[in-house]
Amino acid sequence: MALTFVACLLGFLVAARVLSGGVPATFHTARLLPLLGFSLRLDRLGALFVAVAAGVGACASVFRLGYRGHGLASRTASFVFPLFVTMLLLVPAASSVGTFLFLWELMAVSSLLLVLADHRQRDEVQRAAQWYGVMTQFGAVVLLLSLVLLATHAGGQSFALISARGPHLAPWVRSVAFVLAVVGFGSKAGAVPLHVWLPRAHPEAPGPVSALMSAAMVNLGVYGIVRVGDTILGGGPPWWWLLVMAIGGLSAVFGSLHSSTSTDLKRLLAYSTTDNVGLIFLGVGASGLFASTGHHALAVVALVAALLHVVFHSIFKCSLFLSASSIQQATGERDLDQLGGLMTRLPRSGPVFVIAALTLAALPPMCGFVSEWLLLQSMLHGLPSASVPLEVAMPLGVTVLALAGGLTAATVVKAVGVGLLGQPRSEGAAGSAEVPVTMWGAAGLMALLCAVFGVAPFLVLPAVVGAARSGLGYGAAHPLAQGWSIGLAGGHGLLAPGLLAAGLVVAAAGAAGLRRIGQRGTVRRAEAWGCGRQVQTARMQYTATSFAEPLVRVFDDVLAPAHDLDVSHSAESHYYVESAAFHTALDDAFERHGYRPLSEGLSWWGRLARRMPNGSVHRYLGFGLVALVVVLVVVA
Amino acid sequence: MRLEASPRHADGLLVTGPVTHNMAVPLRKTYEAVPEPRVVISVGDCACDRGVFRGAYGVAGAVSDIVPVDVEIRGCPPDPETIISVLRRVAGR
Repeated sequence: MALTFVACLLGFLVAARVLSGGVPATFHTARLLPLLGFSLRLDRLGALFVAVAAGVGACASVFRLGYRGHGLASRTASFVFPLFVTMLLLVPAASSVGTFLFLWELMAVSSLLLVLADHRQRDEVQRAAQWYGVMTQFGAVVLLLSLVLLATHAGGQSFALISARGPHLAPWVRSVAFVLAVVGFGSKAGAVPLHVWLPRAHPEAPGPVSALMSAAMVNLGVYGIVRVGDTILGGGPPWWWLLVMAIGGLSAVFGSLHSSTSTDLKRLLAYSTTDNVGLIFLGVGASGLFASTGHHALAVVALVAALLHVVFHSIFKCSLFLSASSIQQATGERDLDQLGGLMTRLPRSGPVFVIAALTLAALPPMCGFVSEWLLLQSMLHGLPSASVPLEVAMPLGVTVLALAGGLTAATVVKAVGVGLLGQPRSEGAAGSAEVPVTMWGAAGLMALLCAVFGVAPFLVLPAVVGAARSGLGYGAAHPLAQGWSIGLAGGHGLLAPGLLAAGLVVAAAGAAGLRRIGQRGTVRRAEAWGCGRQVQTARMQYTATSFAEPLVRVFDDVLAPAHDLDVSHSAESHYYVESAAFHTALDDAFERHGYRPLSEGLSWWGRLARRMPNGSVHRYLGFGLVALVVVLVVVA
Repeated sequence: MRLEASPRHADGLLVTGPVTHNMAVPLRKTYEAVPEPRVVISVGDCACDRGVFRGAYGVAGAVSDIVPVDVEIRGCPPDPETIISVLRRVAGR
C-alpha cells in the first residue's frame, strides 16, 4: 500500500514538473533490457496521463485499506498491485518500441492477475479473466505488428527517430501501422467492437482494481492513438480520423445504450466507460480531421476537449467505481434490483456516488459538463466547411454526443433512483452500514475534485492545453481564452463555469426560499400510493429492469432481448396456472454475432487439427511433402 | 370535472356501494392519499347507509363508518339529474 502510494506521489511530482516546466524528463539505461535498452522520456502529453494515473492510483491504494476483498489481500495480489500501478505510471513515459511493448505487456499481465484475484470465490471470475486475457493479448500482438512495422521501415526503434522519419514513410506503411495501432489500442480502451472484455472483467475485478482499470488503464489506449497518430506519424489522411470518429461514435451510442439498460451496477459503469471512451475518440478523431483539413486551431481545441474528458472521466469514474464497491461491500449486492434505501444507510458513500453520477451525466456545475461542452463546441465550429468529410462527420458527431448524453442521463437516474433512493429491496441493503473512512474518503476526494474542476477548470486547463499542443506538435497561438471562463478565440463559444455555478446556487436558494414561503401550515406525511393494496412491500417498487424496459422496447432491434416465460399448468385443468416464471436477459449484440461464431469456428478448427496427427508415419511424411512443395512454390 | 388516474392528483373521492371488509383498508388508504382539502361524496343508498346490504356478513359498514363523508346522494339508484346537480354544487359551477 505504502509502496503504491509513494510510487504515485513520485509519478505525480515528476509529471507535474514536466507539465509546468515543459522540459521532458528522460532516463536511459542499456542494462535493464538486453539488446533493446530501456529508455524513458516523459513529455507533456505523457505527463498528463501519468498525472491522471498517479491520482487514481493513490486514491485506489488508500481505498484498499478498508476493502475486504479476500483475493486482494493474497500474497500474489499484494505484490502485483504496486507493479500494475507502476506500469500505469511508466507506460506513457516509454520512448522506444522495445521499452513500450515491454511495459505494456507487463501492465497487461499484472492487470490480468489482479482480475483473477477473486477466482476462488466466484466462477464467473475465471470466464471474465479468459475474455480479458484473450482480448488483451490480441491487442498486444496487433500493437507489436504495428510498432515493429514502423521501427523496421524507419530503421530504428526509438520514438524520436520514428517520429522524425514517420511523415516520410511509404503511405501504405503509415496507414497499415495506424490502423493496427487503432485496433490494438482500441481493444485496451474498450472501444466497440473490441469492448467485450470490459463489461465482464470490470465487474468481476476487486473494487480498487476495476477503478484503476477503468479510470487509468483505459486512458492508455487513447494515449497510444494520440501518440502514434499525431506525434509519431505526424497526422494522416482524413480517412484515418474518420475511422477513429466512427469507432468513437459507435462506442458512445452502444456503450450508453447498454449502460442505460444494465441492472448490474458495475456492469453499468463498465459500459459507461465504453461510452466515455467513445466520446474521447470522437474528440481525438475530430482533432485529427481538423488537422488534416488545415484547421489547426480547431484541432488543438478538439484534442484539448478529448484530453480534458480523459482527465475528468478518470476522476468521476474512479469515484463511481470506488463507491460502487463500497456499496457492494456494505450490502453484499451488486444488482440494482436488490439495492435501494442507501442514502440514509450510507450517509457518506451515497452522496459521494450521487455527486460522481451527476458528473457522469455531464450536468453543470460538475466537470463532466465542461469537457463535453468543449467537445460539442469544437465539433460545431468545424461547420460550415469546404471539406466534405468535415461536413458529414461533424453533424453526425454532434448527434451522437446528444444521443449518448440523453441515454447517460437515463442511466444516472436509474442508478441513483433505484440503487440509492426508495426502500431497501433485500436484507443486505436493509442491514447495510457505512464503510470505513478510507473507502468513502478516497471516493469522496475524487467527487470533490469533480466539483472543484467543474467550477474552476482553469486549474487543469493549462496542463491539458500544453499536453494537446505537445501531442500535435503545434506551437500555434493559444486557441482558448482562459481565466475564470473558457472561450474559443475567434469563435462564438464562451463558458463561465464559475458564474454558472453561482447562478445555480442562487437559483437553488431562491427555489428553497419560495418553497418555504409557499408552505403554509404543517406537512402531512402519508404512505406512498400503491393502488390501495393492503400489503405493500419493497419488492413492489419500481426496479431498474422496469425503468429500462421502455428503452429496451425502443431499441429492440439493436438489443434483441431474450424473454422467457415459463407457465406450468395444474394437473386437473389446463385453465389453472400452477406457477409462472419470467426471465429476461440482455446480451451483447457484438458478442452474439461476432465473437460466438468466431470462438465456435476456432474450436471447430481445433477439433479438426487434433484429428490430423493420428500416429501414422505415412501421414506425417505426407505432411512433410506438402509443406516442402508449398515452400518451393512460394520461394520460386 | 375530470377523472384522475391517481388519488394524488384528485380533489375528492366518489364512492359507490357498501364498504366490504376487503375494501375497507384500500378505501382508508385512498382517502389518505388524497391531498387536503378534499371532499368525499357517497353515491347511492348502499354507500350512504348500506341499503339492501345492511346486516350482510361481508359488509364492514357504510362509507361514513370508514372515512368522513362530506356529501351524500340518496336514491336506489339515485337519478342522474340529482348526481349531476350535486356534483355541480360541490364543484361550484
